[in-house]
Amino acid sequence: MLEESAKQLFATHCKAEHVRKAQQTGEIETLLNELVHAGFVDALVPEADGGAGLSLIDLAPVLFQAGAHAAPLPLGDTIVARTEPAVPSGSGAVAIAPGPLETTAKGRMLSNVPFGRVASYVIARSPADWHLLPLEEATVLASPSSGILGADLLWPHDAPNGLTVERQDWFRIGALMRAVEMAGAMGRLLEMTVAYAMEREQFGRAIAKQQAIQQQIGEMAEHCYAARISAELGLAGFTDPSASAIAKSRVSEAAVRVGAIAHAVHGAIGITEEHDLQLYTRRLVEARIAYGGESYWNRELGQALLNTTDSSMEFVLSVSARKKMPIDL
Amino acid sequence: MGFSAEFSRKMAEKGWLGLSIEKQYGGQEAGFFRRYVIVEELLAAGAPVSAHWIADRQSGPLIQRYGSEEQKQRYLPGICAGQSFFCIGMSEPNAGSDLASVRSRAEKTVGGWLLNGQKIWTTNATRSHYMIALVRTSGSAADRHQGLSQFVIDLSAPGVEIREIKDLNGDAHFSEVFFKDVFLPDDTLIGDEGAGWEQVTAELAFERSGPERILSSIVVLEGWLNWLRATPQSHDEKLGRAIAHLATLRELSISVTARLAAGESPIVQAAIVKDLGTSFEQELPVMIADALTADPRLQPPRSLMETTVFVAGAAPSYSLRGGTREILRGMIARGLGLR
Repeated sequence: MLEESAKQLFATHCKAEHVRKAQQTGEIETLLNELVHAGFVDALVPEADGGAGLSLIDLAPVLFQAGAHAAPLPLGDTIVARTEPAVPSGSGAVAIAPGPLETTAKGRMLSNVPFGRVASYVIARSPADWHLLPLEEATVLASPSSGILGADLLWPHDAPNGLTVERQDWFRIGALMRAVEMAGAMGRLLEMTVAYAMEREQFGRAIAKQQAIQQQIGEMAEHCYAARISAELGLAGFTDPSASAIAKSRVSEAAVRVGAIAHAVHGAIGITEEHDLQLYTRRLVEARIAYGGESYWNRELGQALLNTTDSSMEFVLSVSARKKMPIDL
Repeated sequence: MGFSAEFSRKMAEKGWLGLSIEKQYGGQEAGFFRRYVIVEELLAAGAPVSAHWIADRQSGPLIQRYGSEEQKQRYLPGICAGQSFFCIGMSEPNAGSDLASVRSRAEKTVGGWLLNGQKIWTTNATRSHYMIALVRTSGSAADRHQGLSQFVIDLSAPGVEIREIKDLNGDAHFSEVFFKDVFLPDDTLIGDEGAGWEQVTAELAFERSGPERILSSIVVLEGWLNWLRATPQSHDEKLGRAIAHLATLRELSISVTARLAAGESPIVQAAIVKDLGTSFEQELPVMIADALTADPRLQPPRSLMETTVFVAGAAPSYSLRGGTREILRGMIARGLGLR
């Protein structure tokens, strides 16, 4: 049910034309309002405080749909941020800064903040604690290194510090949400690639009939399925850093192959600005390296295992323990 | 996977075999997930589970699903007691990936069928009591999926001859099996005559999705982890990647088991698990062999080197047995509507 209503919402308010417009102007108000009205944005807030009182894994279908429509906002990050008392209701989108707040000659600066162009607030480390900073007084500087929707954010030296937030693991949350987004986008890329292979003809027949194409798309489907299930593991084990590490590492690795095969099958048309493929594949390229790539999270995971006395199987079982086995079946 | 009839009987005494088989046939009726949990522990510990493995994983569930009442009473109690061992009669010399082209043929005769032909690459044939074989009962190889049936063949019957084949590591775990005028009584036909293809396809979903499709090389990973703890080195990243893959594969395998348990036949999902799982099992010994020799000043434990080399040698078979990589990807493509 949640999945159907999310699907409908994004299909109406997050079409390719909306995504393109948001990329040009940073404008996301209609989509954000719809997400608030649907109850998705405050879904983790307890019912007593006006939210839906759900847990993050319940929202997996909504977050995957956001990825599948290249939603131009940090939905998962905002949903978690709304559980912070410091974040006012009706606060707009909340981005997470991957690096610390730095003092420069021009002012106080956050570099390369994903979704910095569309956010109303950003959560950032400065220097020891995490703070909530409003973007009202900030200068938003889009740059090629910040990505499609990302930006450098600059405040005057005398800008207030912002309120402290309770959670201290925002970098990891940013990584997990990018993994979930990528898994959603990969599902959409698989659909697009299958459809294109069946319609595109070469050598007198649909390229889908070529074994070489079938083998590539078969492999692509494997990576999509693996990405989705490891993203679910990350959401189910939300409080476990190793579950997030598994999700970000595994999904990022899958994203490389999925993006490559999607482009290989689409051929030259997929390289054009006009074709929608790039709305997804460029986001994969960015999300893969946002908040740590595979190497970083693999190292974290390896160190976490070495710091226990667990066998590798015991370690894996402890991470998935939060996902209940359907033992009654 | 080691073979020990005694270990299998002890498993049965503990009530750890026939977990998905009904109680009236000697099973536990405990469901697929209890089996999953137990099997996972056994594999991670490297237990000698080979004797009962095929019977417990697929022959028992197959007979329970398609067998007659009389057949269930005849075969299932022995499987659950760890006393009847089964092997799988699918591949033939000219029917490997192209399984539908099997030529072993059973001709109708009074009171039963007369079987002639040959199977190959049959794991544990010399040590099993029964084979469930896919054979042609009507038409010709050109009829493809039509005219195939499954029989339970008593391997002690006259006319059955088994010859072991040594593998590249020097072990003889698989064999050739010859049938010359082997009489198969009517009541050894499993399910419907001519429905063999559909039944074998359902059976393969059990064969392709279990934890053994992930854990064939796990003993190398555990050995390496122990050495890394004893002799710290900078391989955290490689270790972490293995864990990310292992955890994901386990979730995939469990999700397919859930579908099997719900009575579905998740053929495409099982193919996905098998291809990803065997890719991981094949990469593991390659990666670890490199890591073990990354610093010539360090001497890895001899037994770990031996195991790694042994597994690396056997690993190419992982993506052959139970369906090759190309066949599996073709099945996934078909599931997506591409063919």
